[in-house]
Amino acid sequence: MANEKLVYETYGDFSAEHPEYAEKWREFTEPVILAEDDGIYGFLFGYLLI
Amino acid sequence: MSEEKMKLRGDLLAGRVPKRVFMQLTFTPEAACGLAGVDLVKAHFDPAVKQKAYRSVCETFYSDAYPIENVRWPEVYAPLGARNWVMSSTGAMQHPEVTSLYEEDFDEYIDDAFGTIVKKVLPRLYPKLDPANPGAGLSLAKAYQRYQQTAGEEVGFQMQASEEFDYAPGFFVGLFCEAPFDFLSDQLRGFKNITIDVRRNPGKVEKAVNASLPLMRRQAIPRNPAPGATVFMPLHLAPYLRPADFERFYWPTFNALVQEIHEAGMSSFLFAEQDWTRYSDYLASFPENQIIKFEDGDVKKIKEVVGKKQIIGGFFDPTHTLTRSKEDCIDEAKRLLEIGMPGGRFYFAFGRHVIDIHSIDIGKLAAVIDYVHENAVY
Repeated sequence: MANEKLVYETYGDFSAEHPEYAEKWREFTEPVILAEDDGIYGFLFGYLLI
Repeated sequence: MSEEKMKLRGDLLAGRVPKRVFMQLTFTPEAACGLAGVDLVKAHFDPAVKQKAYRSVCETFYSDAYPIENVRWPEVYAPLGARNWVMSSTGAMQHPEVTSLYEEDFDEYIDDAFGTIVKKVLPRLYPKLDPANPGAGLSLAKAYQRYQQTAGEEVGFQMQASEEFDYAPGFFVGLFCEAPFDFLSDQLRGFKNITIDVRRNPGKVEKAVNASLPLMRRQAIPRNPAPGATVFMPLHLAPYLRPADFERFYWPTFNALVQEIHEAGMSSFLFAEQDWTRYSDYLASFPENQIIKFEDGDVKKIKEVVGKKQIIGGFFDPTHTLTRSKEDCIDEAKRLLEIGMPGGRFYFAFGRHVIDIHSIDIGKLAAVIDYVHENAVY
């Protein structure tokens, strides 16, 4: 979980430029980026780097 | 999905002698579009066009398992501004040599490989992920959503084709990783830089490879591994290394990864690129029944040393059909079968995917495949 949180902290916060959508986007992206399954890890460390 | 083909596959993977040789052929989307006469660029973005192309391969060439492999999706790379996977004007995906881990990053990477990749490596390869650019999170979300959608389309057609053409599952089931040395070399340091690094900075290379192992372990082994699943690993650089460098930098973490995949109840499906003949003893030392496809090599020696314990395939070069007669091509397949078949643990595959349909003679290749299908019987 700590590693995935770094991903979110690095990429996830774009509420500054679209504050009106911040809550909605957070609902969408947070489960993706903080997911405890293998999906986002496999995408970042597998598909994008192999 | 025919019981016959499932039994062939099951016997092969268990190290039993099957009724006949299992055949796993591979064509890329480029080859499929060339065969069907459709535009590759359109195919990337229109599933109906893509599937028409895939279907033409299934209808033209026999295979026991689904014969298309498509893993580079421009619609996923483009939203990220990818520098490492770029679509050409013809639709072919090109892979320029890139460096995303600089020499001055080595110590940081050794200390915290995950963090260095997130903060430096990925943004350098995918500029839209640079936190300095607004919308990095949105780019990630878009690309990931597209990745899942395309994966769904690919798997969907594969299942449909498997039903229609009676395919057994192939060996690639979606899990993949790299040998840690290849991971460090491929898109992080680049092939040119890593060959300098092993001379100039061997200690740091060794530590960086070791730091890469946990990342590849996590990539290879899901939280809930399915028993019997296979993990694909393309093996890139070993044939270019001196034996002493292979022994120091490549082998230890590669071996550890294969062992851990085995301990998790899964198998490795290795693609030994170039010629791995001189590393036969290493491959033979793995737990039995790993699947190893060889691009090239001394078939006889590999069968004798590796093939008595591991499941081997490959070697057949489909481009020979352009320059040789049909009879010569069939004779080549016969020679391969005579060497590979005894005792089982052998399947028929191309040593290289068919990428360009104009690199083969369609009629001769179909004849070779039909010959193997009808005659490679135990």
